[in-house]
Amino acid sequence: MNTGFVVLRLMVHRFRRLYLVFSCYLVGLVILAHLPKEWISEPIAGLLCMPFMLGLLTTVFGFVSMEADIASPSSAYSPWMLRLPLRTGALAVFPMVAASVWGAASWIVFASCYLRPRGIDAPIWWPALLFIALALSLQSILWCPFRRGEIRLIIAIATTTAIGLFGLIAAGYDWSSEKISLVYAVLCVAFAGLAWAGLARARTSPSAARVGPDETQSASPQTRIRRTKKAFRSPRTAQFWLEWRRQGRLLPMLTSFGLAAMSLPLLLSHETQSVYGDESVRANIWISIAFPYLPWIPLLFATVIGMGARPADIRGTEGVYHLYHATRPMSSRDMYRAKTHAITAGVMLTALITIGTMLTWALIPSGIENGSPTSYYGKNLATLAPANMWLLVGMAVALTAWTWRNQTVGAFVDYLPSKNAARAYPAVVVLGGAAALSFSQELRVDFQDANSPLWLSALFGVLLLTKIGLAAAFSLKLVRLRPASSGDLISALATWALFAGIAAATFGWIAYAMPKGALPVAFQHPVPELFAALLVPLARPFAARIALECGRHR
Amino acid sequence: MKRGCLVAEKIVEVHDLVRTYGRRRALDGVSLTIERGAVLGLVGQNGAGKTTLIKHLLGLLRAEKGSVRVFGLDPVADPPGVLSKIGYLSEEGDLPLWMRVDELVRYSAAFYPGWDQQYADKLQKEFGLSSDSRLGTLSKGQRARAGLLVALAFRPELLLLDEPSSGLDPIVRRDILGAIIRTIADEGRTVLFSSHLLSEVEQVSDRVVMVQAGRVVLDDDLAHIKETHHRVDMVFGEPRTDAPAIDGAIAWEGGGKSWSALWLGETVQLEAAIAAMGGRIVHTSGVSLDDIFVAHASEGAR
Repeated sequence: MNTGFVVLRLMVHRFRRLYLVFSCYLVGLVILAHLPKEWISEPIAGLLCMPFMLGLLTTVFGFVSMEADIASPSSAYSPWMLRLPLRTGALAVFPMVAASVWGAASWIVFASCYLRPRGIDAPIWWPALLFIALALSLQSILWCPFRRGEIRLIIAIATTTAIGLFGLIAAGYDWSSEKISLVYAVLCVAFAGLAWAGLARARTSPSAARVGPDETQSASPQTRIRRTKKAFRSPRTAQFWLEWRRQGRLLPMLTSFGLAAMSLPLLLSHETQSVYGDESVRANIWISIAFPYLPWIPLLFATVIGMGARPADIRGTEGVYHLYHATRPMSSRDMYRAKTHAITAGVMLTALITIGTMLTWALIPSGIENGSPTSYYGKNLATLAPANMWLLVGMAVALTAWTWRNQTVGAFVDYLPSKNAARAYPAVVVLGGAAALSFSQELRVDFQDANSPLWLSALFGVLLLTKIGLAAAFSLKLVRLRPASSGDLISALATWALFAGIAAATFGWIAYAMPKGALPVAFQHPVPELFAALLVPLARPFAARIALECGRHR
Repeated sequence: MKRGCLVAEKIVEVHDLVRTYGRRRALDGVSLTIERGAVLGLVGQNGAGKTTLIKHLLGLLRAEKGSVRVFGLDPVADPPGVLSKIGYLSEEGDLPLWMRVDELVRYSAAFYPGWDQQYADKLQKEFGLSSDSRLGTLSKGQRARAGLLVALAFRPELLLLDEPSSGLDPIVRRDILGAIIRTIADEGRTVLFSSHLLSEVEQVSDRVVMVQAGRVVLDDDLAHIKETHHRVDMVFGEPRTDAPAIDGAIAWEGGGKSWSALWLGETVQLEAAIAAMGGRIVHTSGVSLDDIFVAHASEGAR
């Protein structure tokens, strides 16, 4: 038993404060649940639930002892722990049991001591088993070395998503709690076996223990020297290539994956309707359900990427850039430009892919009218007046610009020298956004109120001034860091003013062209224009330049 | 080894450079100049400030106090101007591991107008680096070779090597030394070579700078250093409990009647001082750079 505690202590040592904070959070929730209900409003109570999943997943990861990138081929189990003179069982069983107990107990406390007293009839047992299955699946996937890291990444995403969705879907189809629990229990046993086997493989595989490749590898007599691709025309094109490989292509790839996943139900969701006697027609009902969501997929992924979901490879150990990247003979301005251009190219390609998919969907029969199959295009788009068609085009442009914006503002996260700051950024943004949303519900904000345009204009005006003020402060700091770049700053401000103007005009026109009643009363001029100007990045591009300057020249 | 120049152009000029990490002074008033064509060995203990100094030359650190000029330019103010002339290889490697060798070569080539593709191909073949090998799958030694390839293929005017052979096998170390020697053979190339392996420094350097606790404690031509440092063995008439206190002696070893000193300067002065203490010199010999390094390091520690 002592051995088990030692293994666990070694594993969770890095996250020890997090376990304490998460435990305190749960205790806090239990106390709050026993306070009079009216003391905490529903939106605030809902907001307090948000850190649960984040905290639970992070603490469960502690039991994985993740010391390798999820997309790397090596086992993520600490290499030096793999070499401890212990049986594989000791290294595997205690972390598996601890992760299972921690995951299940956290949910049971959360559901029975917070959700239920607040009047939410949350199931207890199958979600507890779900979290056990999730923990064990992560251990089994991350402990086992893979030939290719990308495969591990795909398997991890697919498995955890499937585990999470299964319970929700099964509950939606009215499966009994016992039946769902049984499926999860079987999964738990299977993943436990896989985790054990994966760890055994990690201990015996020479490439697994993060020793890396064969250290004795030396010059091979069969060296293949290939030079098929043309040289880059300039450092800028080379840097663009780098940024495209690192970040630019991620959005079109993820969007294609998302759109493909959304398109899968097209194969299944058919509706057959009898027309005359034996004659029947088939239409795809999934299209009418899912079509409106398609244009939002790139925006969703761009937001996730923009928050720094992919660890930047320019950043090495804490506070230090990788020397190869930092010593490129290129100005920080050109580095940043290359990144922005790669993001722009990725967003444009994504827009083409999305529009192409939507057009394809629009032509597939999706409904039945008067006994004939009709497509989404025939039913909803072909009959649109030209003005409304232009409105759709305007909305597509606005959405593409928004997608670009959400990815571009995150460039500074990529350049932050501090790993911890980069990790904290998404948490701050998500929790800050959720808090703002909850408080707006708490205040019962009414966007149909006649006074709403006035106060919303005032709010957006203040935010816009804050943004300009922050940008001014950042630009002054940038001038101090790089005295020669004041001309660039003026040109950056002029560019922002131009794009803010275009965005304001586009949003203003959309608000004007929308049919009456389609938008809430609050969205009257100048609210859309101010909102558009707020969306155009200004302060964070300066912050990105500062982060890059500070990272390269500390 | 040092090649003569009619007018010695200063490639590196560091003046009174100070850098602190918290309360610790990593560099404490370092001044240094490197002339074109020099091969300078930078030696010092771990944490002495060698890497910090090199990072200042690359513009990765801003000078808190003092100034740094490389090719007459401030490396922080003009990174492209400075970095496009510097070939750099560090102990850490830090290559983008997701790239294949051919991608690394193609990407790196774009930044250097003087990139010599034929030379790059020759090095790649010599080092046994297959174009389609991913850097992440290469051994440490092969990665070091890949780093060396991109550091050398544009025939840099200044080659900065920061502990490049640390932890590598003798064959890779030989490749690195060979590369330095070839770079030296290119007229007008300058090399700054930081290493713990003093035998390597001794092999290629014509000048040695020793850094100790952020200060330059020794900066001289290698030949002159070796000429002026001697190991002197002596015997005294009476046994001694402590080493004799004589100015110029950097380190003492021994006990009783027999003592040995590492002496900096002419031995004539030592001879007189020893005689005054009732002793005599029995043997004088040359010393290795290793011994000189250890002696200065111990003196600094005192």
